[in-house]
This record gives sequence, structure tokens and C-alpha cells, in this order.
Amino acid sequence: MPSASAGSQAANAGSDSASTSNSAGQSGSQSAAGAMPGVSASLPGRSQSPADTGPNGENGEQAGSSSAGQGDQGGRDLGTGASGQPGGQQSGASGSSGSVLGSPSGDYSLDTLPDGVLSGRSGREASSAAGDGAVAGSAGAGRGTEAMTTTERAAVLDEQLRRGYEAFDGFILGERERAQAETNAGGAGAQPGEEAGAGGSAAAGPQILNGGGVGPQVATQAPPMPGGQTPTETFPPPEDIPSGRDDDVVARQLREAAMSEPDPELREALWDEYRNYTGLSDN
Amino acid sequence: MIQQAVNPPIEQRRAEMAFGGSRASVRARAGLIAVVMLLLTACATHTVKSTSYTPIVRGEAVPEALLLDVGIAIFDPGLDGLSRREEETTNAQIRVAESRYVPYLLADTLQRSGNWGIVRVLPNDSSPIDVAINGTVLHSDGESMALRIDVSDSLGRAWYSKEYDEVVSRFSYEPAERQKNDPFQVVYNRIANDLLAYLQRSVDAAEITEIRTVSELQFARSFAPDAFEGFLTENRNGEIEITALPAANDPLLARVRNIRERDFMFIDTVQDYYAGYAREMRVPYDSWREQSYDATVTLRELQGSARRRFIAGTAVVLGGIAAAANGTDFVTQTGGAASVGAGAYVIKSGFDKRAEAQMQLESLQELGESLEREVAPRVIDLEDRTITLTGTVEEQYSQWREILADIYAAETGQL
Repeated sequence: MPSASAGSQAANAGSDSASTSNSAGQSGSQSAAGAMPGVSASLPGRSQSPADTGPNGENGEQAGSSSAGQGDQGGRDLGTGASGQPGGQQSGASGSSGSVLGSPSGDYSLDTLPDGVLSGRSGREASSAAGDGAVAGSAGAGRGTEAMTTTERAAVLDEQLRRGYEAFDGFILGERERAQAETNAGGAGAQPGEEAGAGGSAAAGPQILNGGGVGPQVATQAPPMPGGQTPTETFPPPEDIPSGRDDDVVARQLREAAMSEPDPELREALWDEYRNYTGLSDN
Repeated sequence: MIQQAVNPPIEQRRAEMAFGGSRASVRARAGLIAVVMLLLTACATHTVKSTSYTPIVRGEAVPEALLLDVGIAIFDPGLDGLSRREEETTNAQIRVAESRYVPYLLADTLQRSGNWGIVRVLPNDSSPIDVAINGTVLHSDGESMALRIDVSDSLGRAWYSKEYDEVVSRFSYEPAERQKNDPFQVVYNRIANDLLAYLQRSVDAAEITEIRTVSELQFARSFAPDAFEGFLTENRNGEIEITALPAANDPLLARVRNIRERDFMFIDTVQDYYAGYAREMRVPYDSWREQSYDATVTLRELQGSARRRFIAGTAVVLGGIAAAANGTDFVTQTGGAASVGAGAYVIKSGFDKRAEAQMQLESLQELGESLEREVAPRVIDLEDRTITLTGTVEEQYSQWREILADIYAAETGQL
């Protein structure tokens, strides 16, 4: 496997190239808080020295061993999702220290991802930069490659895996927090029947409806809002306006327009139209 | 003149006899026509609607090691096989929205049954799962819903395929009922019960263990093919068989399991997206179903009434024409002409009914367009978020695959 051998050679590059790639990785990850900045940037390139103990290295190693053990004990039940990876959470908290992953901002679009995250260019760029250094120092590092045992190589690769786990865990947990926060902000409260189910989702099942969310409110729903925008303010109907359950299409549209109209004069005019159309004015 | 008054002419008497003789037949014919018209125009189609509720069946508690995970794919909207008439009443965007909404409701139902492991809506088929459910929305409006469900397991064995359809009554839209369940919750309960019944009847504990093992090995093979390729094989029937098992303490398998836990977290995150989508869609969708229920029932009745009137009116017209053409006396011919007029009137009423049905159809379409404006952006947002997340995760997965390959090569001395 040429790539593996090249990677192992690059792994024995001087500490200068390793620190360069490590700092590049950290700066790259810091540039996109809330996204998954560490997808490739947090994974130290194969040029990283096995002796590298960067700012997060020591804590990461300690957390890595604990996460490796606890990850095996995680089991398959991810009813809450978050509890499935206690080791991941711990490693994410201690290993990241907020400097690599940042706080989830909820901005997950492709534009917010660091350049080359999806194409892996940042990782390869770091590797190539390290590789250049490796070429320069390969003569002196050749003896180090031979001295590296299989166990040490596996340890280096395990460290890469662990850091990838940290980045992934932080990213996924941030996404879940954001999704659940949006659900809690826009949805109803606790509903019957959801405690035993909907594993991994704190949101209520759609078939359990709120006591106050049906009936008259069904026909008077606020106009739809595109995703990400704040909901339009709705104005309650006058007291002489009935529930609207029997409204036809036109009456329903008049009702919705009146309830969403901020101008009071125009709103009253719309309600007058509604009354005329439904015959309330005659009564 | 007096004699004429006492003894009317023979011709006149013959005419009176003819008139008096056919008077009964004319009355009988008119009465028959009236009865036929009354029966045909008054007949209404009868639709059997169910108000009974099928509860979820909960099986006996089983160890976690014998719980199968279930993955439900996004349903096929079923837009390809629509008839011309169905196309008039089907809104494609609503159907696409339903193809995301229905799987979530089904997943939630299966999860709440407690008979399975994790039950999730899967954004794609890249994650091996113990039991896979694929479905098609055959029909959906406020009054009825029809689904086709195909179930298979990770061994590649097809469990069964079945169609479910349900016609609900107005009772399902009562506020008290809607607080408890989705109007078509009975469909999801039936699917869940059938799935449990098949599991209990046709899959024993050894097969459950085999299915779970194959799922894990398939996942391991997808991430480290060099290491795990030799543990699975495919027989002539296309079913997966286990040829060997890795060591219980295989470090590479342990790494793969760690990755698989992350994959479950990814699936859980997608499930959160679908939960938010379902919550946003529920109110406008339920409102649409309730309003379209009345419109659908009215439309069907109007179309049926128009059809019956056309049939009855045509029959009366043809009968009247025959009588008018073949009648040998003035009365018969006059009766035939009257029948033609009556039949024409019935046909005209059929046209009126059809016009009403067309207005009702347009109202139904407008309801659908109103809902489409509300749900289409939510569907797009859901797809965007899911695709973005999937792409990011896949990028990470590809790096992990490379690392696992390097680890395997290092551990096997290839490096």
C-alpha cells in the first residue's frame, strides 16, 4: 500500500513539520465554529510525529484511552443518543477544549465548512506541506522509520482515529442539540405516549396532538414561513368571528389574511369581507 | 246531431277505445319511468368506513441481544402509476411530503411498541440494518390511505410484501380523537402488528442472532473490506451467509464497532431532523386532510350522481325514441316524445352535477395547492439538511476507512 508506506515515512518527519501541520489543522478548525471543522483538519496528517503532544495531545491521549474503553461498552441502545457515547462526550469535552470544535452555531451549510473539508484538500495540503518537510528530513529520519514497530504505527493511527472520533462526536452532538432546540422552540410540550418511543428524538410523535392545538386553531393556522425565518405575527379574530371550522377555501384564506395583517385598518377591512362572504353581516 | 251525441261515430269510438286502451299503458309507462328515474338518481354509493381502532400489540419482553433494529427508507411517492383520474386529485408535492412524513410516523409507532431495537428513518441505504422496510404511498387523501410495505432483513431474505388501505370516518377528525392519534394511526398499528406477527412466527432466536451478526459484519466490511471480506458470502439465492466469525477480541472489530456507534449517532441526528419536519408539517397537513375529507366525499357523490343521471337519462331517451318511432297511435307516440323530454331533462341534471363536481374538484385542488405552499419549503429544507449532514459524515467515513486500512496493513505486517 504505497499510501501507507508514504504515510509512515511522513509520520517520522521532524517535529517542525508536525507542529506546522498541527497548527494548520487547529487554525483551520477554528475558522469554522459550529460546523465540523475538524473533519480533516483535526485529523493530524500522516506527517505527524508519534511523539507529538500538542496543546491537546496529553489530554487527548488520556481521554482517548478512556473513550476507547467506554466506547466498547457503549452498547447498541441509543435511546437518548447522547448517552450512547459517554466516552465520546468525555473525550470531546476534554480533548477539544473548545479550541478545535468551537461551539455549535447551527450554521451547517457547505459554505461554512473549511475549504477542502469535503474534498480533503486541507488534509492533503497539510500532508503535502509535511511531506515537503519529510523529504528534506527523510535522510535523517530514515533510521526512525525502521525503528517504528507495528504497535507504534498502530498507535499513531489509533490516535488519528481518536481525534476523528472527537471531532465527529462534537459535530454530531452539536447538530443534535441544534435540531432538538429548534424542535423544542417550535413544537409543543410533552405529549402522551412519547416516553417509551421515538428513541433518540425528544420531539413528540406526530400522531399525539396537543389538547389546545386542534379545533379552531387548525383552520386558523398562521401563514407558512420558509425555513429559518421568524414566524409571522398573528392577530386574534374579533369576538363575533366564529371558530371557522366550517369555512370553505375562500373564507379560510380571508381569515388567514386578516389574522396575519399587521395594519389594523386593512385587517378590519378583511374581517368585514369575511363577514360579508360568510353571511355574518346579514345575521 | 242528437243521434250523433247518443251514438258517437264508430271512428270516434275507436279512437276513444284506443285512447282508453293505451291510457293505462301510458300511465304504466310513465310510472315506470318515474320509478326508474327515482331509483337511479336516488341511489348512492356505499362506502364501508371503519371506526374501530386497532391497538398496537406488544410482545413479550426479550433480551436486548434478541432485538432487531429496523430501518425505514423514505417511501416511494407513488406518482408513476397514477391513473388520469387520480392525477386530477393528487398533488405531487404533497405526496412527496407524505413520503417523508409517513415513514416517520411508522418508525415512531414501531419504536413505541417496544418490540424492536432502534427504529429509524434512514436517509439512504449505506448503513446496514437488521430489518429494512420499504414502502410506497399508493393513495392518500383526507378520507383514505393506501400503502404498500416490503420487508426484508440483512441476510437479503424478503419477509413479505403487503398492501394496507384504510378508509376513515369523520369521527377520526373529531378533536378528541385527533388529540390521541393520527387519523390513520390504525394503518401504522396494523403494519407494526403484522411485522411482529411475522417475527414471532417465522424468525427464531438463532436467526435473529444471525441477522444481527450479518448486519455488523456488513458494516465492518464496508469500512475495512480487506479485513472482513472473507466472513460473508452470497449463496445462489442471493442470500448472505456467514462463512466465519472474527475473534471476539479482534481489535479491528472493536474499532469498527466504535465507528458504528458513531453511525448510529448520525442516524439519530437525521431522525431529529425528521422529527422536526413532522412537527412542522403536522398542523397544516392535518388541516388539509380534514378539509379535503369533506371535499373528497362530496366529489365522489357528485361524480356518482352525474354518472347515474347520464345512464338513466340516456335509457329514458332511448326508450322514448323507440316508443315514438314504433308507436302505432298518437298516444304512444306522444308518450314516447314525453319520455324523450324527461330523459333529456335527466341528462341535463347530470351535466349540472358534473359541473358541481368540477367545482368541487377545483376546490380540492386549491386546498392541495395551499398545503403545497406550506410543506414544499419544509421538504426542501429537510433534504438540504440531510444531504449536507450525510456529505460531511461520508467525508469523515472515507478518512476512517483509509486509517483502518492502514491499521490492518500495519497489523498484518504489510507495512
